[in-house]
This record gives sequence, C-alpha cells and structure tokens, in this order.
Amino acid sequence: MEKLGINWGLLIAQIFNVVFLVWLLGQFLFKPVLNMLSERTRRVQESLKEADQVKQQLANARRDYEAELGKARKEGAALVVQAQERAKSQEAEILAQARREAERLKEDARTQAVQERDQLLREAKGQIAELVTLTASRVLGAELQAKGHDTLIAESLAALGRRN
Amino acid sequence: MRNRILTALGVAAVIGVVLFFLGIRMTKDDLHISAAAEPLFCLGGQISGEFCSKETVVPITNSLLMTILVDLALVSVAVFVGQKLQQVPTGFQNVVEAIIEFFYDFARGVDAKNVGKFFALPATIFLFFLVGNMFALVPGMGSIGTCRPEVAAEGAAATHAPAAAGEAAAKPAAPLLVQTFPAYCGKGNLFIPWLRAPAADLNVTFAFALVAVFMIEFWGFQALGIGYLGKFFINPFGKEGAIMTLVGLIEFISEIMRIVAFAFRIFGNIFGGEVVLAVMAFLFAYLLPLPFYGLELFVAFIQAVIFAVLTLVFSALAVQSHGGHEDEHSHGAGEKAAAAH
Repeated sequence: MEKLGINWGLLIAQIFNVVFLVWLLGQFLFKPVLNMLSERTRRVQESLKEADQVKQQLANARRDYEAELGKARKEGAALVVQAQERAKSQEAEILAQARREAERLKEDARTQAVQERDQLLREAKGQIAELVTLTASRVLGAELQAKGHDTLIAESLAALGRRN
Repeated sequence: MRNRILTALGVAAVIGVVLFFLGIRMTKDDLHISAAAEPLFCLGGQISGEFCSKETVVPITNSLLMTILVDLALVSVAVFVGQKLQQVPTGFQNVVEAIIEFFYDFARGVDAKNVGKFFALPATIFLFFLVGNMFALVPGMGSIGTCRPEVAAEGAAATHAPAAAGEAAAKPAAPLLVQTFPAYCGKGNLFIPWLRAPAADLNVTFAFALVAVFMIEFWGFQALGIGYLGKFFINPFGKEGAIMTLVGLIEFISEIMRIVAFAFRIFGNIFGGEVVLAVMAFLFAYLLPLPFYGLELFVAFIQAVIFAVLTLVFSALAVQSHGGHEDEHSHGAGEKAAAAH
C-alpha cells in the first residue's frame, strides 16, 4: 500500500472530490449546456418549419397572383374582343342608320320636289286656266270690239311673266 | 514542405547527438520513477525522501495539487461558460458544447431511456481524466520540481542505493556540463516534480472507481429493487440450471473486481506512459520521445473515454432487468415444445 501510494486520508479526500465534482458539473455545466442544446435544436426546428411555411405561403401567393394575372389577362382579352365586336356591330348599325337617314333624306327631298312640282304644276294649271279664261274673255271681248288680238296676248304673257 | 520538415528533424538529430556526447543528458540518478505520488509536504507528519512519516494524516502530494488544478479548470468552465450560455455560441462555448454533445450523443446511443440519470457521472469522469491527462502532458508538468535528499530507510531504497553506487564506480566518466543545470539533483538526491497526472495516482483512480461502481450498483438496486440480486444469486434447482448459478457467482465477483479493474486500467496506462516518456528521455532526450509523446496524447484521450464509457455501459446493463433474458428462455422452450408435438 505504501509503495502504491494509497493513503486512506487521501482516498477519502479524493472520493469527496469526485462526488463534489460530479454534483457541481452535473448541476452547473451539463444541465445548462444540454438544456441550451435542446432549446437551440427546438428553435432551429421551429424556424426551419416557419421558413418552410413562409416559402409555402410565398409559393401559394405567387401561384394565386399568377392565376389572377392570367384570369385578368384573359378577361381583358375577352373584353377587348367584346369591345371590338360591339364596335363593329355599332359601326354597322351606325352605317346602316346613316344610310337609312340618307335614304330617308333623299326620299324626303324627292317627295318634296315632287310635291313642289305638283303644286307648281297645279298652281300653274290654275293660273294657266285663269289666264286662258282671262285671255279668252279678253279675246272674246276684243273680238267683239276690234281685232286687237296681238296686244291682248302680249299683255297676258307679260302678266304671266310678272306673276312668275 | 516535407523536405523542410525532414531537414529540421535531421538538424535536430545532429544537434542532439552532439549535445548527447557533450554530456548534456539525463543520468540514471535523474531517472526517478515512483508508482506512488510523491508528497510535497505532509500534514501532521514529517517528510522524508519520497515518503511521509507514519503519523501523517494527509500527505499533500503532487497529484493532489494537480487534482485541485483540474477541479479549478472544470469549475471555472462551469462558472464562466455554463452560467453564461449564449443562444448563439461563440468561442470557447463552442468547444464545451461540442465535447458535451459528443459525449451526450454517445450516451444516448448506449441507453436512451436513462441517459438523463446516468449522464453526469460518466461525463465528469470523461472530462476530469481528459483534462487531467492532457494537463499532465504539458511540458514541464512532470519535469519541474524540487530536489530532496534520498532516504535509504526502506528496503527498496536500500537495495537501490548500492546498485547505483556500483554503476557509478563502473562508469566514473561523470558528465561535464550537467552539474550546472538547475534541474539536476545530483547523486543521492531525489527529484520531486510539483505536478503529476491525477490518473497516475491510485488514490484518484480508486476514488473514481469506487464512486462509479457504487453508483452502478445503486442504480441497479434503484431500477430492479431487491431483484437486482437475482442477477447474481440464481437458484441452482430453478429452470436456469446449476451452471447459471456458477455464472451468477462469477458475475458477482467480477462486479466487485470492477473497482480494481477500473482503478488499475487508467492508472497503468497513464503511469506507464509517464514511465515510457521518462525512459525515452533518459535514453536519448532529443527526438526519441516525440513519437511516444504523440502516442501518449492518444492514450490520454482514449483512457478517459474508456473509463467513462465502461461506467456508462455497466450502468445501462445494471438497470436492465433480468426478465428479458428469462422471456427469451421460456420462448425458446415453448418453441421446442411446439416442435416436439
């Protein structure tokens, strides 16, 4: 024992040292470090999960956005086509209307012209008839008086020219 | 690069050989090997040579001093790192966390269920011996000390002295330069290093071994109650048979011998390493100890791991119930019966 250096006092002191060291390190080194490690693991896992979620959300948002964009584009295209169609139909309509209007105006003008001519004719007829009767009466009167036909006709014609 | 290393080694070897033949070398008187830790002073007793007198209560040995240093190092780690842990680790905290996590993962691999209960003891063993063994390999730890006159009182010392004298008589060519070195103690003097690896002191290794084995048995009883003894004392007329009774008794003896095995395994390795280094330095102090130094670094680590891991594994075995084994047995018997039918 002496040669190996085993001494009871030292041995007991060393046993106390071991117990003390195990307790102290267990309480103040291993426990906090392991807690910290597991805490960090938890946090890293959490943040990885969160990052995944965020990525997922971003992807979803992008997908939605693109879908919306596509829809909007399609709608826009449809709108344009519709507008073009409407414009075309409107154009045709307007054209048709204009043509109709023109037709109507022409028709109106024509009927008016015809009416005017008819009226003129009618008036002219009346006047002619009047003139004829006047002239005839005058001729008849003058025949009765003298042979002054020529002056009478000239007068009638002048009167006609004044009236017109 | 390789050429440069070889050149440096060659130059060192040449210088070494020159110095060696000039007489700058260890003499046999300086080669002092003691299995016991040498006392620096004795509480309540008188110091004489490398022993304390009989009435000494506690000798303050160099390995005790080293134990206190290692304790201080570990406690300061616990105080300055363990109490100020950062969520984002920096610097030394990384090292501490890496070591603890390395060992914790290993321990979880051995016994995931009880790792929380076991962990502190094997981890402390691992850290204490790792730090202690590594500290002891720092140059100067075993080579700075005091000289003390040798006391030729005990038998071994008495036989040693005439042999040394005879050697000196046969080889009178005393080294020329050595006497002027401060570390040289001279003939008849003992060199007592101030520090010594804690694992190279049986008091330390026995203390650890006793605590480890006590805790292993304690955990065994805690987990299995009085049934823990059923692992060792098996009824010879039971279904397990008389052979198992014998095996159980052998297990019981080996359980007790674990204390000795634990204590002497690490003591032998670390003390043997010190002796190897000392002998190599004695033979040819230049370059020759270098490969052994590397080897000792490895041994310092591996012995700490072995002590810790064995403690862990024995604990895991102790809490494992004997029942699983029995189940297997009855299952096998049932199968045999089924085959016979």
